[in-house]
Amino acid sequence: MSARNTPTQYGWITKSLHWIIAIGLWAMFFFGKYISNLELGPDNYHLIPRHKAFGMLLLALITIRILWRVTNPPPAALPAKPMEHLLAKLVHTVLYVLMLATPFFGWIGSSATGFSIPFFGLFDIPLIWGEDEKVADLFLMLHGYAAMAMTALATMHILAALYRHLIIRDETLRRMVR
Amino acid sequence: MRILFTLLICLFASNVTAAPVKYTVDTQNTDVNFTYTFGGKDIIGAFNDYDINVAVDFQALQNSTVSVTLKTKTATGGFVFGTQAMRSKKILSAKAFPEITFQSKSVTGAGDTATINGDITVRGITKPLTLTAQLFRPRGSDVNERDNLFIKIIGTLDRFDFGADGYPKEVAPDLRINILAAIQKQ
Ligand code: HEM
Repeated sequence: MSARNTPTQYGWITKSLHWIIAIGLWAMFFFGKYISNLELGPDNYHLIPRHKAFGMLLLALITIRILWRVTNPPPAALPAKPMEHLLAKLVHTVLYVLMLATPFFGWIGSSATGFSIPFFGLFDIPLIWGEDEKVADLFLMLHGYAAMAMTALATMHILAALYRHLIIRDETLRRMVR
Repeated sequence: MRILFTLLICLFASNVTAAPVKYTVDTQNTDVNFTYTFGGKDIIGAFNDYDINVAVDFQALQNSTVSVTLKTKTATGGFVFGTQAMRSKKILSAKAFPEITFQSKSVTGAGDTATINGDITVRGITKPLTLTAQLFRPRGSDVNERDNLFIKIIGTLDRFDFGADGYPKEVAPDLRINILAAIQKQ
């Protein structure tokens, strides 16, 4: 299997990044919802820096994925109605934007709380905003909305993939898996 | 605590000197701690830079004075994020308010315990605060030992009185101050 994408197939790097990030983002969505509803105390507060560290790891992978995608175009889309192509393109583009925006807003909001962001105890990730409660509240709110919008779009994306797999019965889903 | 066993000094059982005796603090053997409740559990924090001045009049306790200055930038909260929260704008706002100060206004005593009424300033807000103090001499020291003593000062303040109102769901209002200071006659 080729590492790079070909005109008809995805390479293993694209496929791996796609699935790792897909699972990661879903997990992070529920993790985020879980921690934001916790009653925090000495036994569970560490889940918040854990959320941040995994989120920053995903942000790095997403950045790599976008760079990889720019330098390594995906195979041509399989035949579909022009409207479907357009919709797919739109959803993919907005998904990329939200994949970046969600963790990035989290990073800004978290920085503005003034708390450090340890990366699994290895080092501290730089803070990109000074301590400011208003900025923290605003960006962590945007972070939640971006995550929800992303999850809603990802659901559409999954339904579209299932539609092509189960109803149109083409290779769309299979070529991202195999 | 370095000196585990000390002997309480009865404040009225003393006949040593007439004027107030001034003491400075020996930081090597002093702990300036406070306890706060996070998520229902008690956490011990500390101040690592401070200044404590005590003058005790063993004959006339009301002439005694206590002043305490705590450097907020050296506050710790028991764990990394607790420390960061403690120094942040939401609690002590250490950059804007580098010091917490306490100055006694009256000292009264009964038995072996003194009651210190004074003013505390936290985040630039000054309020009255009552502290309780006890003096100890090191175990094994002479009954009349007054040069090297320990003072234990306790008291409770409500952080909301001073605008230190961050994390109201997670952290309880009370900060319980607990100072055990080794003091030396000047
Ligand atoms: C990578 C993908 C990420 C996803 C999908 C995600 C998702 C979420 C979600 C769904 C919430 C709950 C929002 C709410 O209901 O209010 C949340 C909360 C939060 N996230 Fe993220 N997050 C991600 C990355 C990050 C990063 C990189 C950071 C910081 C560096 C971060 C910091 C936070 C913080 C501080 C909260 C608030 C927790 C609280 O309420 O105390 N997140 N996240």
